Amino acid sequence: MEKKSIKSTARTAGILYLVIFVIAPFPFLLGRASLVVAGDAATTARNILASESVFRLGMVAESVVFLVELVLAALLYVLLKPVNRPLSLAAAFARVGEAVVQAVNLLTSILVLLLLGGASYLAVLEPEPLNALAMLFLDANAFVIMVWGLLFGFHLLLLGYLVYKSSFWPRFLGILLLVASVGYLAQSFGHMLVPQFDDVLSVAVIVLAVPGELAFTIWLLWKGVNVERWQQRAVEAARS
Amino acid sequence: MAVRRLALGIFLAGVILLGVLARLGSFAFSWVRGGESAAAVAAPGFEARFGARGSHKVGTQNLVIAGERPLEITLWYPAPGQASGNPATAYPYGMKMFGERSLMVLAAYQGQAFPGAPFDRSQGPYPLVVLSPGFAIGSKAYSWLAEHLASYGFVVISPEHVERLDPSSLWEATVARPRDILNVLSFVDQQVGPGGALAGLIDSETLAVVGHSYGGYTALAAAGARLDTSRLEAVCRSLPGPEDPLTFLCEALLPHAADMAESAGLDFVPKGPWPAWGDARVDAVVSMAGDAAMFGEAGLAGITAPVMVMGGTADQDSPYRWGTSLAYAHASSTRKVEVGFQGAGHFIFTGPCEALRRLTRMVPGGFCSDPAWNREAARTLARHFAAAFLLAELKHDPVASGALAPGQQAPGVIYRAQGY
Repeated sequence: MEKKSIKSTARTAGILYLVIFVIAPFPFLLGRASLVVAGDAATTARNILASESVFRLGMVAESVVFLVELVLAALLYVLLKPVNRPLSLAAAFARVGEAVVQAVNLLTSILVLLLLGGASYLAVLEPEPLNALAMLFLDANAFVIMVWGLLFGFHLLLLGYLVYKSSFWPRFLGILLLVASVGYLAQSFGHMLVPQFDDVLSVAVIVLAVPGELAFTIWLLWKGVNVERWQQRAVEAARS
Repeated sequence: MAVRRLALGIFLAGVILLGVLARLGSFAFSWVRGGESAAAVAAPGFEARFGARGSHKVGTQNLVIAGERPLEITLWYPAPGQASGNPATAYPYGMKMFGERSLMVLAAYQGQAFPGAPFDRSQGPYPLVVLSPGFAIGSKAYSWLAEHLASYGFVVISPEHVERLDPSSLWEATVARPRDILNVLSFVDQQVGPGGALAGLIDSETLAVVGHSYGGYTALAAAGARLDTSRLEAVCRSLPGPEDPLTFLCEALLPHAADMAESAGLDFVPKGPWPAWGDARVDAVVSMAGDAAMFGEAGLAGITAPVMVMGGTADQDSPYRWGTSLAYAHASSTRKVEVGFQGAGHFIFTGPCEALRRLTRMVPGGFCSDPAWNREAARTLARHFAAAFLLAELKHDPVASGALAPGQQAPGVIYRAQGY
């Protein structure tokens, strides 16, 4: 691969990482934070119907994130292949899996809109059960995030290891990504094992994950990759 | 080239900052369990008999009083004993921070009322309780009290005052709120007549006004307290310094005395107490952490109906001395009660925070916390005293009247009573 090409692959990965970093919180901020009132299905339903466009905008943001994730998985695979092909493939699979789970999670938002949409066949149900079902799907959305957190945490674990071993990225980036993976995995496994600590684990994931993801993004954008060392590793990998 | 790199760097830093802020926002707005519930909590060594729920099932409905300035109201009322289904009423506790009709929900809690249940007219008509929320606080923040009173056979109506959390508009609320109460009473008068939607449900001649914070001001005004900006000005001049908690009220109202007079239809700012804005039918008033300094001693003397004042002695938003204590001391009522929660702040009277946004915990203000009190315990006592007072005054219940006799020894409470 040409020098320019691998540098631009890294930069593109950085841009996509940045897109995800910025857009990922918006589905929650737009579709959830302002509209959902915990435990209050009736108010939540009213809020969503009154601000349906905001809710739909949240769904668009959610979609952009998982589509970008698919491309990013491929770019990271290309960049990390010279370090360890099977592991970089596993990292890409984990990231694609995470994107697929996110895509499936969009269904919960679609079902919320269907339930509150007033279709004539739903007239057999009173508003209260409809609102309650809509609330169930909104809650489910939050729990599916724990599922993709598992896949994403696993991806970060592999990514961190590969970056640490790469020699074309600084080792501290690998360490920060490994720390980030601990945050996501702790949150997801913690939710299954010790749900009473959800609150603490939500704080932990922010503290542990943001520095690693942000540092890696900035590095990709600013420095890209050490092209000489990357090529050296690619040649070594081709020989072995 | 260097300029391009600099511009790109600044752009990237901006985008990254946006991402970080969005993540922090997403974190701050997410919901967590609050650890509180709407249930009654026993106070050791004190029988809060009327803190336990009454015998009526409770229904709730939302209505709108049409007009130039439509007023949303919520009703809580006795519902038939066979009211069935899941009382899946969850209530938002929020403030109107960004718009007069848009509630920023801080917390939420579960109620026991049946939404849309039919009225139980079999034991009606019931006395009316108008419940005025605090400034810019949503009326559902007081459902814990409204449901409780309805379970004792009152119909509670709470207006959603049209206002936003903006201190510069407090003077407008000062004039508009008593009008909202009169608007509610006029609506009830229309609806209790023959063929009216509330006929047989409400006895509009037997009524009380209850309120928290600026709702306490509203309740006192509805019972006949008269604004006295001259006296407020004198009090404000005598304050030791700008750090005094009453300064907020001084700065919010005094510069707008002329605006308030004009808005109230007066040609000039009266020297001494203003004309009354109340309704002579008000039989009792409950002010919780209510503001009263704007009435002064002479203005408060306009209250002749029985009055109950409750407040936290460490309240920095509606200082105890200038609200609860002042109202008790100067209301002309022959029967009055003062309940002081020692060391409590302003928000012991707002809704239980069963679930709350992280933001609610992070922002100072104590919306879901109190420096001295377990809020559940404080609400239980508030429910007990409010229900006993309203039963005694509106239903002439002798047991309730007995529960108000001087010498009540609730732990952590300063209790004074007269006429019981």
